[in-house]
Amino acid sequence: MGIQGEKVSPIRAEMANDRRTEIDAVLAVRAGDRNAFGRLVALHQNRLYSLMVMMLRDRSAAEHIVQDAFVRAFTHLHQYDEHRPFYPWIAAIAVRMAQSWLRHRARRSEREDDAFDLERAPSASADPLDTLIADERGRTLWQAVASLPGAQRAAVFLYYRQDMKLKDVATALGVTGGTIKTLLFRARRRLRGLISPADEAGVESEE
Amino acid sequence: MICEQALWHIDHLPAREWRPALRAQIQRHIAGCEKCRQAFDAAQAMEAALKSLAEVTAPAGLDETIAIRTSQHAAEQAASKAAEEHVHTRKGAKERRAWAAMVPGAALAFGAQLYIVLTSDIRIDLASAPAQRWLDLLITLPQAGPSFFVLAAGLALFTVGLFALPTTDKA
Repeated sequence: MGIQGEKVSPIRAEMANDRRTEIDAVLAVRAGDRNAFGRLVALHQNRLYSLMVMMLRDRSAAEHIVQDAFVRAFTHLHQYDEHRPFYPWIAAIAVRMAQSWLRHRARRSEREDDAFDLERAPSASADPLDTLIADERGRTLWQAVASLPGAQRAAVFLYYRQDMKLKDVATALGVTGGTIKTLLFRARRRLRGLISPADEAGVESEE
Repeated sequence: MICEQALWHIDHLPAREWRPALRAQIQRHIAGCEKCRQAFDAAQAMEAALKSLAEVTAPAGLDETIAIRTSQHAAEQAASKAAEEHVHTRKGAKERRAWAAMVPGAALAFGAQLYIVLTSDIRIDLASAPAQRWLDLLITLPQAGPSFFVLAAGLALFTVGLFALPTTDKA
């Protein structure tokens, strides 16, 4: 039960529980129990991995960056404010690493081949998720979002799929809330043409 | 609220960012406007679709790899800290040894000097030039006998200690 006798939904109760686990784990790690960090990894690795796969469209790179992000979070845990949620903080670390990786890859592509290389450049159609998402509608939707420019892609995924608050998305991407609103607006406009009414209706009918 | 305003909000802001007053205004408007109602429904459907985006599971063993790397990092940090403390301890011991030589050396030299001045017959012509004074001192001091050697030993001990003092850390 919540305040004033309201029923607390199971999702909110689970989120509150996760938050307590997070804080306990952080405090335990700071006290010297480094195994407690595993609880933070268990809580957030799937979300972070999904975000990285969406941003990088490369599973191997996503896996490496998730590892690096968690290790960096571990070494800089003293800088984390435990009064704020953990996921936006580690997402910000991972997003910066991902952006650096994308810049490096873009520079390497420019040096190696001036002409646009269809086989090597990331493409929504040559997507690593064919094996990860069995549902065709899910894949179509994913590919539509994956075809957005990088910042819009990350903003859409963090805000809609991962249900982060606007200000937390802004923190994770290192921009202002106003920029996030603009990114989401532009993304929705582009997606209107890419997601067919059947895809949207399909989701509605499932609900 | 007119259509243009309602459509602007529906288009530009995710519904979950609407303040309650704005939400109420839009709801009232779309209750009586089919065009805006369709735009609102399309926006809601888009948001629901995006909310349902697949989330992929991290590969098996990722958490174990992270645990190994964080353990390695913690071990490296502990080793680095121990090495720094060892250097600091050694430096501290060196410093203590240096001072252990300098202080008695200075005391011996000062004591011997004082004894020589008070008890010996050695006198330096203070009216002479400074260089001459030092020369006279060097020539006549050994006449002070054992006290001179105590003075020399004290000065030597002080000098050894001074050179043994550890210097500041180089970058």
